[in-house]
Amino acid sequence: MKMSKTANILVRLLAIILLLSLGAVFITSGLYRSSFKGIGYKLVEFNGDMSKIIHMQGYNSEIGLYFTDDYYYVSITEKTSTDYEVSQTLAFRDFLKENNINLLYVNEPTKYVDDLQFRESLGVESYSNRNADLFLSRIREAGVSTIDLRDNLTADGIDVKNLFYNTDHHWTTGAGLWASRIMADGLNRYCGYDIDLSIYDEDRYEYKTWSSCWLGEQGRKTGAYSDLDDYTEIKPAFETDYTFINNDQTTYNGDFSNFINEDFYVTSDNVYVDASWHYSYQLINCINNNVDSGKVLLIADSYDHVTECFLSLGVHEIDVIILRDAEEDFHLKEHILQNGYDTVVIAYAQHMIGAREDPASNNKQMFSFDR
Amino acid sequence: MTTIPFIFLFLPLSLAIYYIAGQKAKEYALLAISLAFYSMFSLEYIALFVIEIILTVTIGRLINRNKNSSSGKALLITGIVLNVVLLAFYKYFNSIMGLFASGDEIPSIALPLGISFFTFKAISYLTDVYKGTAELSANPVHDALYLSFFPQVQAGPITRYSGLSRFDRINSKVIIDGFFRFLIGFCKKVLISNVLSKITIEVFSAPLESFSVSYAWIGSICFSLQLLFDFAGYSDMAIGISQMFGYHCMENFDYPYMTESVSRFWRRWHISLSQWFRDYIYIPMGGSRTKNKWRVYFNLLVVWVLTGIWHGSTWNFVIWGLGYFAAISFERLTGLPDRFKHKWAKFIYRILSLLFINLLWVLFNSDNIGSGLGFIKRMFVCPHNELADLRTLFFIRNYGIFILAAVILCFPLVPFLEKKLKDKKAALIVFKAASAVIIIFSFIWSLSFVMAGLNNPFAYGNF
Repeated sequence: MKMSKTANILVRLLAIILLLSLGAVFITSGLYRSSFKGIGYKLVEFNGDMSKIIHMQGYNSEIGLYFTDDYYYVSITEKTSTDYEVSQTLAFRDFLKENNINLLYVNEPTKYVDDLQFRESLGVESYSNRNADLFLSRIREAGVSTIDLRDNLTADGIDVKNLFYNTDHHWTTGAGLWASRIMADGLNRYCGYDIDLSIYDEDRYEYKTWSSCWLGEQGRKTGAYSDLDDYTEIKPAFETDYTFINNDQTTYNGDFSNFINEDFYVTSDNVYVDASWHYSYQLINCINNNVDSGKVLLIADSYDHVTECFLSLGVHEIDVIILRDAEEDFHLKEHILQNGYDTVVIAYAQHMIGAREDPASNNKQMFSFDR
Repeated sequence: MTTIPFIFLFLPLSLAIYYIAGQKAKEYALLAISLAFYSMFSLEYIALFVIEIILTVTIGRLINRNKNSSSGKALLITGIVLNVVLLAFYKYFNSIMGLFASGDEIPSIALPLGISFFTFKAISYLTDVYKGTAELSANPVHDALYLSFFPQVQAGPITRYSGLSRFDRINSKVIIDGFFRFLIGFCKKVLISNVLSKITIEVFSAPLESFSVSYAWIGSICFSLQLLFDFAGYSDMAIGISQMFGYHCMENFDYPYMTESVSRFWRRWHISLSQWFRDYIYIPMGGSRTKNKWRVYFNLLVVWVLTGIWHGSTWNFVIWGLGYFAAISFERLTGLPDRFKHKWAKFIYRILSLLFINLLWVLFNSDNIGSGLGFIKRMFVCPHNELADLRTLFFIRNYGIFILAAVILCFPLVPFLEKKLKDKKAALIVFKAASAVIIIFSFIWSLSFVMAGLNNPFAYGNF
């Protein structure tokens, strides 16, 4: 049967309206996003694989990201004068001194200790270690107590790569435990603490390891050039007793495992949407009921997700603040005086030095102690 | 046109709507699709775009009725002035404000999507109607579609009104060929141009003091290649999409870096723009057929100054245009390279022409004349800088495969092989199948770059 002309037009019109409606539903319902996500991440993966095959090490060089010959991600740091960081640190030291509060500065290494290694292979200069050398020498000269964890790497014969994840800029939980012992030693030496360092002996901890389970933040940005990272959860094998303090000042009691949020241990099919396993160790203000002395303010960055918890094992009370995340009306000096800390520890990854000059950096506020 | 929503949602949906629509409704559907496309990318200017279309089409229709009268000419002038004033306002507002305004906040406006290309098409439409070289369709919607056809709205080609014609018979071959042409353009843009832009962005934004000769050269060569594959890629996509909708679209590139001379380069590069300037500026001014020998050089000067200004409002674009004027005038005066008898002389002249074009692209891509000339100087004379040389080596190691592919694709290798295999049926089938596999693989790889968030907008969309 032949359709009339009007019916024909109506059918076509209806089909078009239906198509447009389907398109609108597809977009507005979020179906569009979710249906592309799966394929999309496969494509990101494919992009990483292709880059690996043709050995394209620097496609993300505009964000300073490269991978080395052995598929290890590294970030490049620009040269800085360190003037701002030095002046802020020294003024802060003076303030603390006036109030009889100790200051300890801890320099946490980034993923390499030799700036010159990229010159030949990448044709690029990184100043991460040279910036740190200059900054540390200037504040040491002015009398600030410092720990440069790079020195301990050399002394302990550790390859820096063993401290870090391949696909993430953070260090591992094992590195956190290793660094915490050195920081505790620093508190003993420079701040009059008496922490029993044997609590950091490796055999006093329980270890649980997941193999190839998560993709770090550098890997998410660039596609997975290298294999997924392993993850090790470390907990003291001895008894612990804590009082944890929430942001609203309410408290709860528990043991060391309260630092760990196991919800982060997600092993879905899609490592691009899973949470970063590094953050499973949380930064929480806490009181260690097994230790009688010491009240520390840890001015931290994200590396300290895996140091605060271990450091707290030797200190009565630790509060943590990350300056880049602090509210605009937060007054650091007032906060210190109100809380009666005996020691302030600044523990920063060395790429924080000079971050203020990088327009794209989130870390501009990290050395703004004068607030 | 290289975004995921466009490829996987807008394009298939538009094609489905277009092919479902009845024969008489197709142009209406395509006009609606084109306006929807414009809204997606330049919503703030959609009202202006629609008003420009309505005014231009109305004036065009009125000219058609008054072709041989003085009112026809007045309407033509009105239509052209209207479009040119709008173009000049949006294109040069920021530069003029920058010259005269003071203080921290210099007022600025965004450029409406494809306004340059729209203006050129509008002038072409009005002029062709006035001259009677364009026979208007009975339905003004066709005129509106010509001005707004979405594959061409962003960066051309600047087709003529009579060029917006449909294939006599739209079959699956036409559509599939169009689809593959689109894929090729997409790969050129994403896989070659965007990747090479990594080098050029770094080099052109680096301080000149950090340069070495090799660093300057790799930056300039990669920019020449990047610009070709960016713009030719866009043109391929425009041609491919037009074809998928059953419309012809003129070619805009013909292996431009195969040119024998500077003059002939512009017969291969952005062909629709060269032809536009020839037909609507150069010839109306008298072209080459003037009694006064020197008048032709004046005409050329006007064309190239206008070409420069059209590309940008800073002085380096004017100098860039004047560079072409000087080279083309030189070739006209001397009769080179045709006067050379030896193959080697012609070959050397060809290399020198490419070098000249490359140097002018450096000026084109620089912020100002000073930095452009400084860049060019460092291509020949530059203090030794080991780090910059190491960086050049890194670029070659890192992006060598893309640079090599770009250089190879500057030559008409595929047409050459197709011609060679013309009589060998089996070999031709294998060749075509292999080409299709390579194109599809390259498309997936390109998509992976887009998904990884590494996509760039079209460079030529800014003009």
